[in-house]
Amino acid sequence: MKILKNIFFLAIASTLIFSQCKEPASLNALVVTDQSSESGNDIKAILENTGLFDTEIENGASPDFAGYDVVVLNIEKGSWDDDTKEAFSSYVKNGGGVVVLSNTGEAFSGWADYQKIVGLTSDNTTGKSKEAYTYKVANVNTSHPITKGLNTSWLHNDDYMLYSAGSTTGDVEVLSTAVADSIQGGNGKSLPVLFTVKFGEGRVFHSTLGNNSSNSMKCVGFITTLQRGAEWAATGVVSQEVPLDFPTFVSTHTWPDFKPLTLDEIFKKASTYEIGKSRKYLADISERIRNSDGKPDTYAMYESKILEFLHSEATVDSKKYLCKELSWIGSDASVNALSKLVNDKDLSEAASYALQRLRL
Amino acid sequence: MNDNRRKFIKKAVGSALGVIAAPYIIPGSALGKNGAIAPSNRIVMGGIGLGGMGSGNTRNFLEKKEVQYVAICDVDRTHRSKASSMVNGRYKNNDCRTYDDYREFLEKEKLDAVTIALPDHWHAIISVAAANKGLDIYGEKPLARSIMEARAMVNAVEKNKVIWQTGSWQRSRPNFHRGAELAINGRIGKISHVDVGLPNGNAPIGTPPIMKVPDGVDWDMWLGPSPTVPYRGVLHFHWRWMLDYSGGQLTDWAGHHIDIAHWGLGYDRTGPVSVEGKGVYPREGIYDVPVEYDFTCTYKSGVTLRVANSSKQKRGMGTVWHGDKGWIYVSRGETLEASDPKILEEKIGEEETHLYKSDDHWQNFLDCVKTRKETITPAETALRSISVALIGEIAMLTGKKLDWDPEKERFTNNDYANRLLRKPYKAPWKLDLNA
Repeated sequence: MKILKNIFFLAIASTLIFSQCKEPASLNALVVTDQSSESGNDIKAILENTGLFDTEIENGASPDFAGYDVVVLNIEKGSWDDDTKEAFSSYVKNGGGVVVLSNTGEAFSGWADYQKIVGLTSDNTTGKSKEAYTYKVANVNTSHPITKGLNTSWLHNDDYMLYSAGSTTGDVEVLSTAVADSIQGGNGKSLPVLFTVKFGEGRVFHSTLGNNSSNSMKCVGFITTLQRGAEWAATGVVSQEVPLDFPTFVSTHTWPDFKPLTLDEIFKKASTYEIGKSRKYLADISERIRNSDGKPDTYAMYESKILEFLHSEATVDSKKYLCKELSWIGSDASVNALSKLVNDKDLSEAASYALQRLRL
Repeated sequence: MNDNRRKFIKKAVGSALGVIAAPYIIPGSALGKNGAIAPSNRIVMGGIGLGGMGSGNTRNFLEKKEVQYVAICDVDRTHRSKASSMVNGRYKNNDCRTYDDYREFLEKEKLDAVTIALPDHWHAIISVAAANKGLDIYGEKPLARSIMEARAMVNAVEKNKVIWQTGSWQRSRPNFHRGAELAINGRIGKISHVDVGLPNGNAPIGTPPIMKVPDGVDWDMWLGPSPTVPYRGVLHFHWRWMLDYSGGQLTDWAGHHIDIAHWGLGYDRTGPVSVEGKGVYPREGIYDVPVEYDFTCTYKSGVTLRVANSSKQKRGMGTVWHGDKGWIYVSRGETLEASDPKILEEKIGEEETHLYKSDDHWQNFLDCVKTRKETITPAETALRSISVALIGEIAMLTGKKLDWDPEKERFTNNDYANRLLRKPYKAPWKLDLNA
């Protein structure tokens, strides 16, 4: 088989094996929160999983902003003294990066600079949807570094939608909107949910997402935009790649540990698939194969995992699905394995389909 | 096979009214008056697949006085009864014969021509069978679900010397004809790029429960060569959101706006040399065709063709040719626009390229059945139109930039991708690839 020969040839010839080499973290981030320690830790985990940030958490009333590249605010009710407020204004004015999360935009009242920094007018309408629900976010600005390359429309997982961003100040640049559904008490209009603000030399990224503790914060859309927004606020550019499983307009995606699952974790989750249940983990496998470097040894690695899967206790439906991937990435090993399955009561049809392509 | 009739039709070419004397017996009511054509002198037609497109095509052919519709075939009894009522209503009799199995239909009926309008996964097997019976075919786009099927169909049509018309009816509309003719004659200068916008994806429906197959539907036959699955309420029309039966809006519409793009480029007999792009595939539910798609083909000439769902294209649905002296845009709703309105006033000189002219896509087929000339959208043209979508689909599924040889119809830089040129079949269904 020509492809099999290629596998050996390329395995020898290729000296570079793909690995995720990360630069040591070089940006300093401060998370200021008055929420549970859990949510502060979650934000820290999200930032540090990029490999870009060293992160500290501050719960006190007078945080010190000096020396940080980005300050992430997650505050429900602000209680800073005047000196802290003054220090924060000058931090931003002098080029400090800020991320404003969830309902932090409403945390202080009667503080003019704060309104400008978070990009909301002082007469902002407050309130949120009646329930947490999954809603569609539309990236109306696709050329900004934060949203560039993301699916233009995606489902945000199980969150309250905030209506406060209905009255932004003039200088915000809106990145993404969502419709304030009237069934949920909204006004039926598209409101900003992600936007940026310029204050002095400082860059501010404002995300009104993440109001339903872990459910909404595990959304890959929330995580990705927070990670990209924090890097942009700190540096003005975004170096992170778009994750393969960024949500689409028909499907949500969550990362239970705020980071992409390992391949073995994905195969494990995929192994319980039955038609009617979520097939997103199988789709993830397809997506990873599709986005791989396409080298024979890479396909051979996926092939061996799938062949192992076919002989595991995984469900028939999940095995059938993965036979389709074997039908184009497989080698002689797949031909041998599938030939033994053509009389299998569950997999004969799927095996025969795959063999028709492999024996082409 | 009705060889006598076929020979007769071929001979009768050009006779003004087609009215003849012996040996045919001509019913008085059908004689010459009002330009009527005797039943014995009509093109005897039948239809396989009488859903939305099939019944529309049948309706169009029933209006033609030179056609005699005699039989229909569908795996759904409801379709059979609606279609046969329509045919019988037209002829005011009860003569239309009905079949649920195309094999019996092709075996028993003595036809000149057939309309085929089926889910894409059935196109190749049935079209090749009909061509091998010597029938002229009006077949719905897209030509086939895979490149190898498409080639087998063209081979069968050419080997049997049957007439093929594809349901790419936009070619028979004046705005598309005029736009393509201006483009091919250089009225916007040298063309460097074409944008094609096709519809956005369909809303997902999750996974409906397993349901009882409706009375009168042969579900196993409907599935045919595709995987055995239980019935979940998706039968007519909505099959096009599942990869086992269709490539979604992309392949569904390739036979329209990509077809028109090729026409204006003069690329009806060739294809791209490379393709690269990205699709977004749903992760939930039974619908699995791409909900977003965006790929670009490059031709040997250097011309690029971008195909994307309409919300990604500046002008949305339709075809835009971009040349060094301007652009021309065509779309449904008689849309014909240009960078400079004067372009649209341009005359095409006698010595210039005149594209095939038809103002009635169904009549064009019948005319060609009589004259044995090529239709406005022959099988090879349809193959070239759907090939763009099919190799685009493979580029998106593999996530790779692929080099394509439009002569050999193989990828030259990726043998993995070549495997996807084939749609596997469930036994006992087979397609003779060298038909």
